[in-house]
Amino acid sequence: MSGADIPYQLRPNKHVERQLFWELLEHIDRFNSIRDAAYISMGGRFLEDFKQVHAKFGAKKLLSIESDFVVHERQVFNKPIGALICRKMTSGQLVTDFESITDELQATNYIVWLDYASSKDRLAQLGEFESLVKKLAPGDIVKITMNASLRTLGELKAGETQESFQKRAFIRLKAKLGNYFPASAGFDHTKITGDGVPEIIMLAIKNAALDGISSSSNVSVKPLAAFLYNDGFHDMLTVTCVLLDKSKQDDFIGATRLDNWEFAASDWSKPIKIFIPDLSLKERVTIDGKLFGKSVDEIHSELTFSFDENRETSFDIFKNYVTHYRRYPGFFRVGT
Amino acid sequence: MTSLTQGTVKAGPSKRFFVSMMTRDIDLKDAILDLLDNCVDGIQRKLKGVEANEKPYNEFWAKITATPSGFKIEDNCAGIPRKVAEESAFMLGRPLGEIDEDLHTVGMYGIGMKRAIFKMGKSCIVYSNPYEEEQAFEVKISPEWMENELWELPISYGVERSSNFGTTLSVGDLYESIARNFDTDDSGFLEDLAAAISQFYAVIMGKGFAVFLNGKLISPVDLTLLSPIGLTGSIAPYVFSANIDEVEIELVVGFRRQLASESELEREADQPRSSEDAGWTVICNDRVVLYNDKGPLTGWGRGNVPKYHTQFISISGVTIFRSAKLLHLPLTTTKRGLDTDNKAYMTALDYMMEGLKKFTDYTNRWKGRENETTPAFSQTISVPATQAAASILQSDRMSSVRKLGSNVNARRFIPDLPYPEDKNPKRRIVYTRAVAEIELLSSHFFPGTPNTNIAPSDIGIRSFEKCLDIALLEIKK
Repeated sequence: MSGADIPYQLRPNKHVERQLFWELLEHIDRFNSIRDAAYISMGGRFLEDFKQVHAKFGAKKLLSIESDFVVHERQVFNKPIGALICRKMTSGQLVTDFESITDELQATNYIVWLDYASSKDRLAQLGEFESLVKKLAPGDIVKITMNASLRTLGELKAGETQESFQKRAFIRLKAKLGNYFPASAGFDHTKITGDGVPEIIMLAIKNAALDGISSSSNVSVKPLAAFLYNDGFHDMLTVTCVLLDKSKQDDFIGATRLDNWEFAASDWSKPIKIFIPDLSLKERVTIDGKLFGKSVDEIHSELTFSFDENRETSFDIFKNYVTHYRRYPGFFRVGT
Repeated sequence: MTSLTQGTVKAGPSKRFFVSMMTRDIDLKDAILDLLDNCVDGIQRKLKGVEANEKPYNEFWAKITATPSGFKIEDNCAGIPRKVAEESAFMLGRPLGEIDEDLHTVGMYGIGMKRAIFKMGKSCIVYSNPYEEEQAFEVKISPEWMENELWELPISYGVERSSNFGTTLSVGDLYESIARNFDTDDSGFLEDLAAAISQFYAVIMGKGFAVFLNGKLISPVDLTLLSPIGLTGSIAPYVFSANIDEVEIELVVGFRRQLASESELEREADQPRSSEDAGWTVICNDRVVLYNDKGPLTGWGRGNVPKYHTQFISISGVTIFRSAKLLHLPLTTTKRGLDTDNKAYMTALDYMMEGLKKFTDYTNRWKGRENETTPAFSQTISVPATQAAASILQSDRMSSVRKLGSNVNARRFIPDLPYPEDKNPKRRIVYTRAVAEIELLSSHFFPGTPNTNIAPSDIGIRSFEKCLDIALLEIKK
């Protein structure tokens, strides 16, 4: 099962991650106008991100790519704005034909989001990402989503020790990441944990990005935001980067003020986790009604329910909700 | 407290290092090619970089004689000037400021000749009859000199002048392993050397330079690509050109032949033959430094480009680097392989991969349907790769490269290769019919099931299937 089958609006973690992406673009907008940029992503059936990028920034150079015939047909039906091009093509074709697309869209800059769900082709995904970065110019933004679930590396077999499983999974992950595996990080099998696997993959993304700019000595690639969230079934890692002319790095920070954004990624080491609870309307109203009137600790103590049997875990989840309550989706189950 | 005293430690070179160790980094073939490079650099100096026509090297030749009793290379490429011989040619490593200005030479480090001599034998005579000079001269290297720590060599002026302006280098006291390599009854080395010369000197020989090995003229390999007849065909090569770091880059990649059928690929897997002609050839100042490479150095298996596989047997490319600034070229000391940190190379690699990917994609998409591509390939003609590139470079089909901007004069042509339709493409059929008719068909197709349980789309699908069955039956009749 993949998270793709769950309606977008019902995935609060994913929803929050999207909201954070728009916030990031708002910062970037102060450096390079998003309105003048082209936005390219895999919009899914409902093209939600295209509605947002158009509504928030007025972007009109929009391209959605989709390889599935049925989804593509629904995209064409659901197209929220006439300027949006819904094209049936794979991410591989997008990267291979990227120069034809830039000729077609003629935008100042490009924001491209490679939204990979499958864990099967990580090496190919990173290869596409590297090749895309090679074709991007300073000022362009590239986002990649990859499946970073520990479960994609196999499961503990009956009678197998945890260490034996980790060693097996470590070898598997190394093979899956190929030459992008972060060999210099000094990782070993003990890194095969729910938090460790995304960190390894994030460094593999870094390696692919750096390979992508290897020919451009005056260009750097910087991570701007990195998040890890559960998509209903899998842990998904998203990393957004910018390509910058080295002489403009300070201008970029000065204009975007990203150093003041609490969710900005300062390096490639660790994604920020988003793990907000699934709340009923009643729960949410109860909590929101107390926010900023009392301390987070007090509110959590006063709740007549918890989010996990472990008190500390429950409090962590609660704090994560408080961090993102403004970004929480406004959709609730109606009825019991 | 002890007082500080000053002294020195020995930090100079040892001749033994150069004579015994340096020669281990290069194989015999490449060492001999280095000597040929010196011949060509001599031509460049004589012509002062001016190439008046397509065959500027027509009058020039090099004759290699390699037998178990000795090695000799003789040329008419202007000889070593006396001043150069006295001041730098025999030094181990080229002094600063000695690099040829504004010439497209490849001798950059000043070690090729010495390394080749040390590689082959214990004694040598270098004779030069320099162009536009009054005297010929001779420098002798003796077995004793090879052993001692003296760094000067004796030079004799006024030796007899030969009929050509050129250099003759004769190596004697060959090492046993070298002598065996030069024995055609005992080794296939000279065959390999001939093949290497035909490959690595393909461009230079194409410009008229003649190379003889033991009296036989060696002919260059052909670097060809399919080019559209009259520029209208769909199968055309990808072309990129730019000027990076004072290096002119020109690269072209495409098909050198029609796609291989599955049966041919099976034969190829058993006995690889045709694959030898696929891959990238990289040229620096006319000198081929990589011939038909199929590895990551030329983009195979990097990024989104697949690793080389026999199915890509038809893909071939040529990358040309040219510069009068030798140190800006991606040359290594052995001139075999590439300096991967070189700026021009790193830029070229991005576009070699971009071009390569177009043709691997094309090959993959037509897999199993190769015969359907015959009409497209029939509109092409095999021409020298440089000519295939030139016909596009001179046309108005080159466009700018967004990423590189305009200051490096980057331009490229991306062919619009034809792709097959999906094997089983689907189209949506939407139509409206009277409810009564739909209910009639529902009862007919799904007897016993209430009409309300059957979706109209199911009736539509079943109707189409029935109709298709009837049509197929009628066609068979």
